[in-house]
Amino acid sequence: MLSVTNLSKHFGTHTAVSDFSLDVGESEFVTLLGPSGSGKTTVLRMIAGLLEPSAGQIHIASQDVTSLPPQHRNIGLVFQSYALFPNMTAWDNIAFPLRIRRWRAEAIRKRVDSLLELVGLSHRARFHPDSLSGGERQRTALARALAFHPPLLLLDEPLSALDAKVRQGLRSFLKDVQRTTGVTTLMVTHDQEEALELSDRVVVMNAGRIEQVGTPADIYYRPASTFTAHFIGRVNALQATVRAVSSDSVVVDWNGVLMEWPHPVNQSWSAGDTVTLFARPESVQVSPTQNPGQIPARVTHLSFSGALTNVHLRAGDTEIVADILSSQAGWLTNGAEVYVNMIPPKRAESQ
Amino acid sequence: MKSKSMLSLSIFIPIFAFVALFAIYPAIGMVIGSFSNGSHATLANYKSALQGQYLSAFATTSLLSLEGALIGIVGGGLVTWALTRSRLTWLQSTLTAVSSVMANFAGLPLAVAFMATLGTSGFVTIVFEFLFGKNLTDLGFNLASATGLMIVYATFLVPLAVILLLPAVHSIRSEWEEAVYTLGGSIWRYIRAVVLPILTPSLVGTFALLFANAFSSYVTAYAIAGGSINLIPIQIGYLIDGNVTMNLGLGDALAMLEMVVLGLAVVVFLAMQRIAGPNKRGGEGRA
Ligand SMILES: Nc1ncnc2c1ncn2[C@@H]1O[C@H](COP(=O)(O)OP(=O)(O)OP(=O)(O)O)[C@@H](O)[C@H]1O
Ligand SMILES: [Mg+2]
Repeated sequence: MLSVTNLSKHFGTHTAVSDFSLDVGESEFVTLLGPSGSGKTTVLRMIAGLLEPSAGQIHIASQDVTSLPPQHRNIGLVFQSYALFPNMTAWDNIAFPLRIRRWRAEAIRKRVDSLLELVGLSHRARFHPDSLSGGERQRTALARALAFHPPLLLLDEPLSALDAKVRQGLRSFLKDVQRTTGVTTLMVTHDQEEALELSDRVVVMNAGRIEQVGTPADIYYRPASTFTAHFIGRVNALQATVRAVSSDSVVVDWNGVLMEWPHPVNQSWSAGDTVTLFARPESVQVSPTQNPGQIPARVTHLSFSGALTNVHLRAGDTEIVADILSSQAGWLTNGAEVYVNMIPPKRAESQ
Repeated sequence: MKSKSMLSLSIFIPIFAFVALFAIYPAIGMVIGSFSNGSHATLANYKSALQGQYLSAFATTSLLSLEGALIGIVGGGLVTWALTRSRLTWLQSTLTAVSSVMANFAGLPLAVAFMATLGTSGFVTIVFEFLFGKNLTDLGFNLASATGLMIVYATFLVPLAVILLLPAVHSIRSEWEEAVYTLGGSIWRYIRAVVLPILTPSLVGTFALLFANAFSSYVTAYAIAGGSINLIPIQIGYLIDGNVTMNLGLGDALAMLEMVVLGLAVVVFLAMQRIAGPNKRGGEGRA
């Protein structure tokens, strides 16, 4: 559906995006995730045609649109700031792209009314943007971007200007709308939770480059780089030695305990290598008595955060953080001698 | 508490006194004067004010002021537009500062500056004659004419328009333009459907204020055009300083009529400001 090849953008001597390539399939929901300044917006604006690439090609539905002006790309774009026209009501904002396309009045009325119903704003149709709430503006902007049935929808941090509660509601709403309309969607965000929850695939960006592309589970449990591992949530980095390598898994030695670990993507490990394993806090198991494959550790700090209790441990000279369901953490006390093991991540799903 | 507010109020007493002495008292005098012939109440002053040379002075002044306001709004609009589109902040702040100075640089200094450059023995006129062997006057240019006056007016009306339009033009966000493009519209669609509707109240209000400014400009007009153009402020000047004919009652009546024109312009300006406010904030809109 969307195919981007070797896209680059330089601003003077500064390189904002370099060698960015990505294919997005029909009806797929893909997220660009990365820290501030990593070039996410720049990529989106080049795809929308608002920014001219320094190099590379963009194809939409096999048509080369690299030098096509934005008017003719037929892409729905939702801006971070919504960019609703203040002089028009919500209704007129949504009708705007249809009037440009010279739809008949009756067709416009039908389409706008049904979109307003889709986004749950029928009762706010006659209001101007400035008297709508943030969430209502966002839904109006979404309806406007979808009005003309664009085959591709681009969203730039669509939820970042909203408060936490509205954001959570709109997140599932956005996913529902994407599912019902089946529109191919590329969303920019720097909120990892949002990316993991909404996307079919996540593109992790860092300093203008792609760090990793994968399913949310890939990105979360099988990070291809230290950057990705640390950018997406908290992680334990464990030093281990590779003992044996098979086709898709390896046997590693961590503090004298042998574990079967999936072979990482984008890296090639061989026997004898010292490697870093990434284990999420919820993948750490803690028990009061030693089971096979566990090593001793000492509790250094406990912090209660509602559903989970964060248990800080020290095993030899390694710091480990474990997330334990609070309902099952009652026996843990500061300074307690415990035993820990890691649950290895599942193997990568075949692609 | 009370004594404190009394104290701060007392600071305004000299200001109130000043306003009473130099604005309210003369204004009352003007109202009374316009309705009297020295001994009786009469409407004769107004009758004469709306006849003959005075009526034609109103027509000329209005026409010139409309022209000036038009030049100001178009010139100021273009400058402001270019200013906000160029991302050069230093240029923006410099031109804003220059505009503030220029907008206030009216009156005698401005007139003298123009006479010293474009007048019959002005610097530019002489250099032009030296370089091209032609006198500007022979080419049909005369500073003491409607065209000359328009050029002089433009030097303070354009900057004034820039200052008045800048906030509204500034409130236009570049995402709106980009949104129009991604939704399939052209730059013309953007200007017609977004920019003009948002700017209209400011444009109309600014136009009214420029008109009022040009209409009431006395010193500049007098110094540049003297008696060669029949303008209301100049006629009022003649009637009250008695150089040609002294008729205080008629002068007061003309001044009253001018106040009505200026008042209307200010009302339009204020009304437009009110519209620009709530409309931008929204509300239950036009169905
Ligand atoms: N018009 C521009 N001129 C110069 N540099 C720019 C321009 N636009 C972006 N940049 C630079 O390019 C880099 C990438 O910017 P971009 O806006 O794409 O980042 P982002 O990932 O969207 O960040 P954020 O999460 O803060 O929105 C940044 O270093 C930014 O300063
Ligand atoms: Mg951005």
